[in-house]
Amino acid sequence: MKMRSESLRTSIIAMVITSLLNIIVSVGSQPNADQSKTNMLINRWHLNAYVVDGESHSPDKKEKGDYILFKEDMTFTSKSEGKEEEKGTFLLNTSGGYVLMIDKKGEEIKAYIHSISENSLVLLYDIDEIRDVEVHYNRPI
Amino acid sequence: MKKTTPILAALFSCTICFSQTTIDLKIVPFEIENPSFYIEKVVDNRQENHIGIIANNFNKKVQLRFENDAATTIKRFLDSALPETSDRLAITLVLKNLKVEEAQTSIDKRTARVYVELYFYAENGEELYKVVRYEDQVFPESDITEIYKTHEQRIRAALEYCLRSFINFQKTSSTHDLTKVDVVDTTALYPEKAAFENYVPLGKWFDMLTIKRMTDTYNDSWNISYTGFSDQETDFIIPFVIGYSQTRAKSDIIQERGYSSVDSYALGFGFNGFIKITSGLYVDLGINVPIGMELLRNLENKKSSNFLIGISAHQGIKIIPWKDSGIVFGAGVFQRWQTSKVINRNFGFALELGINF
Repeated sequence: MKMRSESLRTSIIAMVITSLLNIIVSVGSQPNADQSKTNMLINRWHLNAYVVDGESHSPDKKEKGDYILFKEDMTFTSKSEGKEEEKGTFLLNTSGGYVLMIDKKGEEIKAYIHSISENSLVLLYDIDEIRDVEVHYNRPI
Repeated sequence: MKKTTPILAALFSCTICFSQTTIDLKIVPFEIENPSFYIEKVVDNRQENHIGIIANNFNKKVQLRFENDAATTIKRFLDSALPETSDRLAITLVLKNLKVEEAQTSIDKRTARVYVELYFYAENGEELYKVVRYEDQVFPESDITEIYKTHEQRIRAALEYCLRSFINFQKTSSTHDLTKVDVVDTTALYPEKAAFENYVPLGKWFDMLTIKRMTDTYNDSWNISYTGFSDQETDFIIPFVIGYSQTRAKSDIIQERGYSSVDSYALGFGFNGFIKITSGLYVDLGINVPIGMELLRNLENKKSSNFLIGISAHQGIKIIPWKDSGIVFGAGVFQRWQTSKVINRNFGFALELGINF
């Protein structure tokens, strides 16, 4: 019985220490997480697929070669539906979980970052017609 | 009687009060690369203590406030991203407006919004920058819980936007380099009144059910329709309209055309446009496509039917005296062309009565 209570105490102490370490690690890593998100975003992203209600659709023929290039100087270049390159500045809003692209005319496009990893970026554009469409991008190999 | 009067007064006064709910901003730091400043002080220069009237989890209207005062809450949040260090310059933030809103903005969507108006001042009191931000997010109409849950996040996002906007401004404007600001003696640092003129609130959503009586040379008609629209002060309002109408041709005309009776049934799809003249008064313009069936009975009592499709336009006024709920009035003229076997083209007058809810 004594053995059991000692082992219980040891387990509780271990759990508390682990929890505290987790808290310290998570608090300490927040800015780094932000930094890595910014670093991950700064890349050339090629349009790969549209996902609607879990069903994946390939981009149209005219969208072949569409991309967004986020640069370190917080400018972007993009090609949409094969049309000539658009340029502007962008702003990553970590609290809102979105990237705001502002073109030369000052028009803004907000895209929520659904998920991001080194090789994949999924955006949800804040545009009425395509609000529920996941736009999947990947990095060129 | 003397005792009941104050009790009744208290009961009635309670109907215009809202219960309150509080929120606090989560301290989630966001990364700012090489910041040259920190926020020394946040001054709350708003006119109202609360930050909005919103629907809670149970879809009840409540007054939203910060758990602590707005200045402390905002400073605590921004300090996590911009901690004070000796090499950084002190900035005072003046919060002139902060509003949390939500409203139905289309037939199946609801928009939640945070509006922030922030002024940035140097230590010497010079106004360095001002920024306004509408932080909008669109949800499915029924997603009340998610909207309620995320107000706090939108406030943080709006504040982060303002901060990043200021940093971008600093980068692009050398004249506003914080280190180059001349020291001047200013006693009145902050404007007394908030500049609300640029603030455009989310429009209230109106649901209307109306019956319209239309008359012209050849027909007597009525129409029942549902209209939903988001009120706008300046823009052309495009409401959602769906309606059902029935038309009976006047007997002498139809007999001249060889029929004893003609009834038409049609569903109308289209979009009307409202132009707001003043609160509760709208110019009503519209184009609709009626699709339906015309049932004819000739003088030998033989029945026949005819597919009906057409286009109709109308111009009129709509009066909505009570915003929340009440009676709706309308009057106007209309023109119609349709594939009728009796009357193809038409012109008439319409009177409309209904409710908004």
